[in-house]
Amino acid sequence: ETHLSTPKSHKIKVKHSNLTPSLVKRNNVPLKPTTPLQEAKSRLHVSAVPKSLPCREEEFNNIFTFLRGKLEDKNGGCIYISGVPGTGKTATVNEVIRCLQKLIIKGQLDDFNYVAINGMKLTEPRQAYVQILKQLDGKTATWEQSYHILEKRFHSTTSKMTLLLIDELDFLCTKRQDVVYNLLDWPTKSTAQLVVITIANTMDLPERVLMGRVTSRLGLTRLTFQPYNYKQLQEIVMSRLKDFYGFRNEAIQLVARKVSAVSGDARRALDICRRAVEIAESQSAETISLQDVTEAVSEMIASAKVQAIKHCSKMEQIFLQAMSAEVTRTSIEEVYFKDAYKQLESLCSFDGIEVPSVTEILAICGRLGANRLLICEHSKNDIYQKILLNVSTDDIHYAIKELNLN
Amino acid sequence: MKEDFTNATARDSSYKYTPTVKKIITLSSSESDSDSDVENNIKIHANTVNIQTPKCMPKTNESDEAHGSTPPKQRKIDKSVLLTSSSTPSTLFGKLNLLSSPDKEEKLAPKRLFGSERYRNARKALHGSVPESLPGRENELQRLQQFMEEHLKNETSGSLYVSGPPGTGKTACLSKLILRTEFESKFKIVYVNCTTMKSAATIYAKIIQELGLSVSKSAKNSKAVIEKYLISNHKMILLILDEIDQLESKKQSVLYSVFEWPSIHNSKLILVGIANALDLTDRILPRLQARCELKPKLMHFSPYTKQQICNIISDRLNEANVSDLFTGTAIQMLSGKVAAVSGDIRRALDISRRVIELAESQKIAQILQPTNSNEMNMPKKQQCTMDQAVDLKEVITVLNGVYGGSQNIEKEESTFPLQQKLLLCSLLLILNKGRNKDVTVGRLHEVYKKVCKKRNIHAVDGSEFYSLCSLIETRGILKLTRKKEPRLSKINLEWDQEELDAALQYKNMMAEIINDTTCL
Repeated sequence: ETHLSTPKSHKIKVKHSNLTPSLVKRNNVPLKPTTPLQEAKSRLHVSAVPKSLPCREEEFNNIFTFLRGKLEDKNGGCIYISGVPGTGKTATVNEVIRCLQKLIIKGQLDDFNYVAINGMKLTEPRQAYVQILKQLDGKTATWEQSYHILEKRFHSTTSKMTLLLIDELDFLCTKRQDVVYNLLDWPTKSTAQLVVITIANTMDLPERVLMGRVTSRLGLTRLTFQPYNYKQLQEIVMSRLKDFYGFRNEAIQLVARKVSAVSGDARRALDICRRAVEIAESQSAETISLQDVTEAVSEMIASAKVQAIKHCSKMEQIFLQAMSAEVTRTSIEEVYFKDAYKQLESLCSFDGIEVPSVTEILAICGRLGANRLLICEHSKNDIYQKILLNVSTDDIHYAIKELNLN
Repeated sequence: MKEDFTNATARDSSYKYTPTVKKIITLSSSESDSDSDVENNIKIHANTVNIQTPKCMPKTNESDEAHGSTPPKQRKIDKSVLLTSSSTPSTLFGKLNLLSSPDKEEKLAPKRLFGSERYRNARKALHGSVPESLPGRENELQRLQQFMEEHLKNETSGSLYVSGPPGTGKTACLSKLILRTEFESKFKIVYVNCTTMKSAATIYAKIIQELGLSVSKSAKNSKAVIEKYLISNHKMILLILDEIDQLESKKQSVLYSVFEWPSIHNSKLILVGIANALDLTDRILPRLQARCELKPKLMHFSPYTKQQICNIISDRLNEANVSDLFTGTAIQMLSGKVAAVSGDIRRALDISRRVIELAESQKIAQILQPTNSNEMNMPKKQQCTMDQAVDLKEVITVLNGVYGGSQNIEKEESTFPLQQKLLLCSLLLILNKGRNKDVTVGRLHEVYKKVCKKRNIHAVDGSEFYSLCSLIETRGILKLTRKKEPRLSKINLEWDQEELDAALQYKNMMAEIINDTTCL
């Protein structure tokens, strides 16, 4: 049934959730991965969250027992989960919720509402109220109206418990912190049957950013996700690959060790593995060798700066050399342009090159500043502008020496 | 993982089978949902026998009825079905006959059921919401009551400012008072939490709404409406403004006018402001000092003392009839620690709840441990699971987790990434031995690279190094003062240097780096 509608009626329908937002469907059916390599690639994708999360059993258990206890007791509460990015915080919580929802289906747990908001997805902290209400009732209202509806809701006893997940809590903290305060104050009401799960990166966010009264309401039920060590990363990648044996064992180990030494971020390990598969694919190999992995690692972890210096023009390289010479001479990091120019003059005469004019060198300096090899001030200060090397002097020597040798 | 598990249950006897809680729960997520009733029934019997714990009884239904079970017990049993139902019925059938013995079930059932219920009651009793009674706040309650009764009797206005750190029972006291019938009938009570206001001036509209007056649009107008109402009023108004420091504005005009209301001629208003700051009225409202009738009466809620926290916790436990779950020394220890740090009752309750949770989860883990199914050590096991009061050990574990500092780094030895440790060592090297203690990211990177080069470790480059710094920042060890250029950002060590020093020096290489002046 199609009938003409003005934009306004359309909007109202959206507002009352009578229309579900849909995307245009693609015309042809998406291809299924055919080769084992493609299969492995799709399994290694970060978005393909596995059914059980390896190496997070203890955290899972912690959150599960906490939430289950709260839901059974019909008591409000709050838990704070922290950890560096890519350590499986959100995935674990989602998994816990899924398990709890399964318990409902089995009739071992009373039904509960589940609401998830993400601080990064809100244009403004107060939009949190709008989102929460939308997920609970499907209505869209302004934040003030939403707030009052929610306030009423949580001040009267309802039959259902509500689980509220707040991801990226630090983005909800404004100067007044009224949103965080309200979200954490509702669980303390005896009538509100609300359990709040908050997730953030910073371990000491409550002490560092939040006000005393908010911290006090947040409570001390905290859980920290430690970065993965290399064994765990290895296990994660292996569990993703399951029955695909194209990956050499030592190749996985290399990725795991490289990543765990730097950050312990599982996303990164998976990305490197995926890249290695892609490299192997481009060479139409069946298995992934150690070289592929090394290449992927160097692509993702290696520095591009030495390459950039190598590809600079001759005069740019000489200018960089002059800069490093000036830094070593004065042992102060900030260099005036005129001093660097003096060094450049002597370097040029040493090499027997004609010294370019100041304007030309200023242009060079601007170019180097634009690709961040240097950090410069405004060029209006001309020869009195201060310049700073953004690469280490070692890198410059290394890059240029290698060039000279060739 | 799933495959391993099923194989283990199918092939091996339950001696080798080691179901710790964590593994099982994770597995339950991947199980199929399409279990028919018949299958389930079989599984109840099969699995429960298989695990061989007091929790999992064969013929659950009959025994439960016999002992008059409550729903949670039932649930626990059901849980075990859920946990292990991934094995096929046929393989488990065989074991049913082999291992189930009727005398066991009689011993185990009641004890198991008894324990979980008590933990749950204790957890419920230690809730963080407003309680029925307020032990430790008798004086304050009485003073508040006196203040109100006095004004009620004389029909005079008055203002009161209640201050105190978070979690000392300010709001609890007042919300308890306003529920008293004599106040409820004689007062028109308005309770407003000021954090719910969009800005300071919207408070007027809120008050009008609460008083049930005719609504007007602009803030200026609404203020006049309230003032008019105050004069013409017949019933005393009790206006409680919680978190009143949220009403701070540029000229404090809102706060001033609110605090001036009680002194308006003929107004019958008792104003109570609640906030954390001790000197809020003196600091941001100095003009109130000039006129004595405007000055609010001050009242301070001091942090709870050790004894008070002790009493509160034991009272709550007594009410729920589970006072023997906590040993006296454990409560003493807990309240001593919290009183010394903050005196915040929310914290104390939170910690005690967590202690109970810890004890409970330990108990569950213990029950699910493979018992080697020897009849010999079964009685012993029951005994320790039955009367397990929370003792110092659990309390200390939780307290250390909460208030522990750098000892966490030692513990995390294996998970703290190597490059981050190197970064910290380089920082300590500069701070200990360097002349210039002013550390920027660029300078630290130079030193770090020298350190890495000397030890033949691959050093990360500038941008990666910066992200490493911010990763460490999330642990609270460092603080970055961000500048326009990442390279120029300043690094401050937030933790106690000596402590961190000691934590890192446990390892040989780290100790070497910290004392290696040649890298500077």
